[in-house]
Amino acid sequence: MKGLDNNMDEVFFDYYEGNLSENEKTELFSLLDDNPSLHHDFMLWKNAYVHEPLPPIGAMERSLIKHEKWSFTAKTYAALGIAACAGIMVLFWLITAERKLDQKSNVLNTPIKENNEPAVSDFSQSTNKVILKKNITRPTNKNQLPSVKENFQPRVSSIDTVTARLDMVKEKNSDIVSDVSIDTFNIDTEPLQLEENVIENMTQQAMPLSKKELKKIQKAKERAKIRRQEQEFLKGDQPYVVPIDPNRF
Amino acid sequence: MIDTKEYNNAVREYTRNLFRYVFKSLRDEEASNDIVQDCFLKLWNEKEKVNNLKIKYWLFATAHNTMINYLKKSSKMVSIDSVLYDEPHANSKSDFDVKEILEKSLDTLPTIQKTIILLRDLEGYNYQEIGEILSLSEAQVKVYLFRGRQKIKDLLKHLHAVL
Repeated sequence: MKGLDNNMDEVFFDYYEGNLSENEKTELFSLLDDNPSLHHDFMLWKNAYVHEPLPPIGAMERSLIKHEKWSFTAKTYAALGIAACAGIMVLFWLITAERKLDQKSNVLNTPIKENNEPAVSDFSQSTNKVILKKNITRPTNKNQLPSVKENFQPRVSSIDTVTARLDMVKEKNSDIVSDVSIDTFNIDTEPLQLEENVIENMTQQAMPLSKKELKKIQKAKERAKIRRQEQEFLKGDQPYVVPIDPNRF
Repeated sequence: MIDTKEYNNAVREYTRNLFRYVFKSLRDEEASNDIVQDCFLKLWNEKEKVNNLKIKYWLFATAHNTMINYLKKSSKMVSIDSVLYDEPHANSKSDFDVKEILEKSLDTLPTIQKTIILLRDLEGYNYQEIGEILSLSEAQVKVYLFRGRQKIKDLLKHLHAVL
């Protein structure tokens, strides 16, 4: 440390700035011990430093913050993710479609087993199955009717038989053409006549009617009966009589 | 180039430091707020040009230049007489406060010396970093710093002698 007496300000400055070595510091402190008058200047140099705490966080700081948008890399990653998902879905769809195609081709490629026997037996081909009305269980007396009504099941009124042609190809033999009968069942859900009477009796029991109402019902029934007869007549079950045109004469 | 995240980090990290530095220099809260906001606005506008490793230097250099322009416009220069002798409570020993005297002494310094002292004391920058901010050499920074501190010390010594 050269010229300490003349450049004490520089020495003090360097001390507080941390520019002095350990030896220079020791030399400085021994000098201060020897010269107490320098203490005042030494302390004044110490007071020449500014100390100020940071201000608290204000509204300005919050207002300056920018809301982060998706960066280019984030957008790229998102696009890649979506593309990957779409690719996986397409791949999955292709695999399933391929499996279905394989299954179909397996079925098509499977050789047909040779079988000399006809697919439909002669007995079944030649037999027309007809279920007659007499075979259907019907109530024979009134006592059976309520149980029939409770356990009502559709009755098979008739069975129509349709005969179809079945072409069977055989490798060795010539073509065989067979007739196949197919039964179609007609379901009759309308109540039988005996059942109608029972239902009528049951409704009468449930709701007692006056004589006038009974007469009305009777008349309505008669009208319905006449109408039914007319319809049957029009169907051709009875001989049709050409009405005489009164304007002709 | 800096992105939004780095910008927000800079806001969180340096806003208060920047405000303290500007406010210490200007003693005007409103003007200090304006300058700090102006600095960050410039940072955002020039985010593609600013090196992300030197955001702090860039901010303080911008604040310094903006401050100089502000002072030039407002001619807000404080004379030593108004600081030391016109203040009523400076005459009373009971009101004597080293911190207050120090702040007023700072106001008497030339802007460059004051700026260097504030950057050194408040932000802890070394001579090289201060030189980068203010476009000065290390030797110049050291000389300005020494002269500024010496002036403050002399003013403090003078006040002690008066009081």
